[in-house]
Amino acid sequence: MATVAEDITSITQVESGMMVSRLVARTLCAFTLVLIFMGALVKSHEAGLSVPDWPTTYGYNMFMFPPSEWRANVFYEHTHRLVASLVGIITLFLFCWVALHDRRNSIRWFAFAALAVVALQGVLGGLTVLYLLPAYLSVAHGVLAQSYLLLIVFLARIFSANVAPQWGSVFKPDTERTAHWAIGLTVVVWIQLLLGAIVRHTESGLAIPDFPAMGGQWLPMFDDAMLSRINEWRLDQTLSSNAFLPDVSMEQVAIHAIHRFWALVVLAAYAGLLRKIWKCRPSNLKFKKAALGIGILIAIQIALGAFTITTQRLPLVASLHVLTGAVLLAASWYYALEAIQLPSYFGHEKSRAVLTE
Amino acid sequence: MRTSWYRVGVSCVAAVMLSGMQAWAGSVTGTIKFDGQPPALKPLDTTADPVCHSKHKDKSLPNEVLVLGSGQTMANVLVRVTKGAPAKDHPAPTDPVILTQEGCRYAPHVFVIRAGQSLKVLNPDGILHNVHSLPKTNTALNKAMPANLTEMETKFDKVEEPFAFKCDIHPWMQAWCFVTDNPYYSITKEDGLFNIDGLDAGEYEITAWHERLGTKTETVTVKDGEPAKVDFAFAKK
Ligand SMILES: [Cu+2]
Repeated sequence: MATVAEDITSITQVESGMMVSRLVARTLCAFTLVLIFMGALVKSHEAGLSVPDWPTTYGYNMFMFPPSEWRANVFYEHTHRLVASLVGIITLFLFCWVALHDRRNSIRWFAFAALAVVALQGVLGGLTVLYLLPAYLSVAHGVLAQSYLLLIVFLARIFSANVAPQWGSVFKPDTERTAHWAIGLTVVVWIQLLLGAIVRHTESGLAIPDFPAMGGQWLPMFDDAMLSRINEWRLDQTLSSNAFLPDVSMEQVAIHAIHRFWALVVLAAYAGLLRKIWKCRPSNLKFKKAALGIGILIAIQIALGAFTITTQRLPLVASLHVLTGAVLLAASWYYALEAIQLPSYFGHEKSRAVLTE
Repeated sequence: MRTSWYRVGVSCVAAVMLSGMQAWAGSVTGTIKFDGQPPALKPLDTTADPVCHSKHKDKSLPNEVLVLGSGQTMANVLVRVTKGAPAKDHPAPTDPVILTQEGCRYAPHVFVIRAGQSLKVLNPDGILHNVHSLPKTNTALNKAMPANLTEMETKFDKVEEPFAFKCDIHPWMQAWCFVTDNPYYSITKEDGLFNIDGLDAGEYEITAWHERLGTKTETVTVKDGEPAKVDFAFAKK
C-alpha cells in the first residue's frame, strides 16, 4: 500500500519525466525544420553530389572533415549531413528517455517509430548519393522528412501537460468536426509537399516560367504553342543569365501545373476549416486566432511560390518555400491534434493509475 | 646495287598508289554560324569558392554556353556523320583523351572519345573537384578529385549521344562528351570550320550538334576527289 506522500512523489516524477520528453520533442521539431531547410538548400544549389561518397566524406569520417574544405557546394551538403546526424542523436536520446521513463507502451512504440524513421531517412539520404540522385529517391527522401516531422509533432503534443482537447466547454461534435477539417487540411498539405518534391526533382520548377499566368495565358491550353513559348523563354534565359535551362517536356509542364492547381485545393480545405471554426458556438478565440495564423502561413507560402518563379529559383527563396511548406504542415497537424479527442491511453491518467495501483 | 634500285622502284609505285587513294577519299567541310543578334552573356560567378575566384582575379571566367568568333562563327559545335559512315572497324586510339580542370573550368568544353578509349582527367588546380558524368547508356561516374590527386582515368564502353560532365562543387563547371566508334566527326573552334575526312564517294547524313541550340541535319553527296561542302546556321529559333 503506497502512502499518499509516495503517490505524490511518483506523480511528480512522471510530470518531470514528461517535461524532459516534451522539451526534447519540441527541440526536435525545431531542428527538423532547420534540417528540412538545409536539405532544401542542398537541392537549390544542386549540391547533392558535391560530396560523392557516403557515409564517409571524401574518405574522412564525416566529423573529421576539415572545415577548410567546406567550400562552395560542399558546405551545403556537408552541413546538411552534420545537422542530420544531430537530429538522429536527439531522436535516439528521446527514444531512450521515453523507454526508461514513460510507462505507456503506445508512446514507447511511437518513439521507436521516430527512431526507425530517422534511421531510414539517413540511409535514404545516403542512397540518393550512391545512386546519383534518381528523382524517385530524392522525392522519397524529401517526403519522408515531412512525414518524420508529423511524427515528432505528434509526440510533442502527446507530451503536453494536458492531452484533453484544448477547447474548453464546447460541444464535442463541434470540436470533432473541426478536427476532421484540420486533419483534412494536413493531408492536403502533405500531398502538396509531395507534389512540390516531384516538381523540384524532375526539374519542373521553371517548366511554367510565369505567374500567375501560365505560359503567357491565363487559361493555359497545354498545346504545342504553349510549350514552344515556354522553351523559347528558357532558351532566352540560358543565353542571358547564367542558368542553363534545357528544353522542358509537356510532362514537366503538367507536373508544375498540378502543383499550382493543388494550391487551390489547399485553399479550399483551409476555407472549409475556417467556416467550421466560425460556426462553432460558443466560439473559442484561441482556435480562431490559430486558424488565422495558418491562413497567414498559406498566404506567405503562395507568395514564396510566386517569388520562386519570378526570381528564377533563387536558392534562398526556393528553400524558404520548402521550409514554409513544412511549417504549414506541422501547424495544421498540431491544430488538429489540439482539437481532437485523443484516445484515453495517451493521457496521463493511465500512467498515474499504473503508479498508484 | 641492283637490290637498291629495286627498292626505290617499289617505293615509287607504293607512293603513287597511296597518293591516288588519298585523291579518292572524300571529305565534308563547312562553316557553322549563329544567325541573329548575338546574346550578351554574363561572366560566370565563381565567388562561391574563393580559390576559384582567386584564379580569375584579373580576367573573369566566360560563360561558354555560346562561343562566337568574328562573323558570328560558332565554336564548340560537334559535326559528325550520322548516316552512311563506312562500316569498317576503327580500333580506338591507344592515347587517352585529356580533360583538364584548370581555373575551375573544364577544357575542352566539348570533346569526343571513342568507345573503350581511355579518358584522363587532370586536376592542375590542386583543389577539390568532383568529376560527375551524366550519361544515359554508359555507367555514370561520380568521383572525388581531392587536391592531391592530379590525374584519374576512366572510359566509356558504349556509343552514346552527347552528355554532360559537371562538378557538383562548382556548379558553373560544365563540359560535354560524345562517345563514338568511328573517326568521322569534327569539333569547331571559334572560326566555325569543320572538316570530316576519310569518306568514300557516296551520300551521307551530317549532323551538327550544339549543347543548347540543338541539332541540324543535312544530306550531302561526296564525289571522288572533291570535298563536299555544307554550312549550318543556328539561331534562337
Ligand atoms: Cu570543381
